[in-house]
Amino acid sequence: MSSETAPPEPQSEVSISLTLNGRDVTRTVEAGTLLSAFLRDGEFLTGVHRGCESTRCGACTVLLDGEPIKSCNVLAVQVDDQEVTTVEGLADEDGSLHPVQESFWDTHGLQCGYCTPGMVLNSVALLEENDDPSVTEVQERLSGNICRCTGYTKIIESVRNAADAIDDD
Amino acid sequence: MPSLKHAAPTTVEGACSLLEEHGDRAAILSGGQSLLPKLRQRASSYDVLVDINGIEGQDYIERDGDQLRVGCLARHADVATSEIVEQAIPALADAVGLIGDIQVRNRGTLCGAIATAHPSGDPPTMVSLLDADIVATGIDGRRIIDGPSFYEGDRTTALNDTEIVSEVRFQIPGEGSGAAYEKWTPAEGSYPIAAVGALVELDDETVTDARLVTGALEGRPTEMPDASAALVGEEATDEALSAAATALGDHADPSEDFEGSVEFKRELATTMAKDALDGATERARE
Repeated sequence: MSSETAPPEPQSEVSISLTLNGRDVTRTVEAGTLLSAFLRDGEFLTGVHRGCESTRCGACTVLLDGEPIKSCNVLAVQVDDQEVTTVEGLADEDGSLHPVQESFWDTHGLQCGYCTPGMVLNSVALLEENDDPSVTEVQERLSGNICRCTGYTKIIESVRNAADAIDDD
Repeated sequence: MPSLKHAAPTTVEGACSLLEEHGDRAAILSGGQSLLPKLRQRASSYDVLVDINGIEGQDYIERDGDQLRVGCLARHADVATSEIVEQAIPALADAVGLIGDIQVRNRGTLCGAIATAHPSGDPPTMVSLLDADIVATGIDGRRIIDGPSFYEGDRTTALNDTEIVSEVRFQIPGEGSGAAYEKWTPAEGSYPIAAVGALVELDDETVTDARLVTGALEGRPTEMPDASAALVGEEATDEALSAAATALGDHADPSEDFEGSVEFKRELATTMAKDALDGATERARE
């Protein structure tokens, strides 16, 4: 086999460069590090909530190049050269909240708040694609995000109100 | 997570040689939506993850004559929202669009799900229903495995240890044909307990060909020829479709487990079969 096609030697530690909440960062991570562990334990972004650690609850949802993914089910090495947004990256630098965060606040779209970062990030991505989602579309979209405090009525209302607020701007 | 090594080859062939070198200590990492939970739960153990996400040009979805070709890095979300898929095989867009949830679909790949061969996975049933060709690439080159013989048992495929599914080629249903897929899941986003894919060909209102495949019931996609054969030559009336659906339930051989009794699963299968036959017939008429 020629050297051109020789596959790389497997490594225990891998260097990754990514854009994290708008900042360029380069880090060395152990190959098996979950993205959720990298974000929480390495970058202290504790808005990434670990809920079920089994890909069911969606509390650890972050945006990868703008698309929602579950950070407990992706390795940190897999986000090399990409853009990651956590809930900490949504507000403006002056602290003013993203319209979706604002709407969850105003509409009482949270109780304990544990699921909220995942709900908010998934909703932000939804509204980027569809600026006027129906109740059914919001329900389908948030089906991978579980709230155990209560029903989902206020959460869905928060997303709908955020769509209206963004539309009014 | 257990300690692991990571290698990111830039070609499919490079991935295959890593599989050859590390044998059963190596696993392919594409979307990782089935692999990572298994690693985390220590249900599988590997030393080396062969990360194929950096291989360029493998996320294609294209139509080639009467085939729909999907590369190994096309993600479920890409397939589910592809206009090419929607036009060619809307049943495939439906089935893939109902996998897990948006977060899972944004990462998981269609070819990965085909290779994972989960007994309740949606893509394996579609592979069998649409008589897809599986392109397997290994250290000795490429070969084509036909869909219905790809699944040998629960999580067991015809792939050998150094091969990966590099492409899947679905047969696009022809003029007068339609396909549909229906499943019943116990909770939002979970794997189905019963799933049925139906393919119906009509000449005017007479059924000239039909295929029914179940998923989730028998450990792998299972063709139900007795149920579909009874439809051929019949008019596609509600009674005829109901009779075929009932026959499918009667011939299904699910096992009883915590998710339900044999009787319950057969009942579900009948209901899913009727819905799938209705959908397929509707599409065949279009």
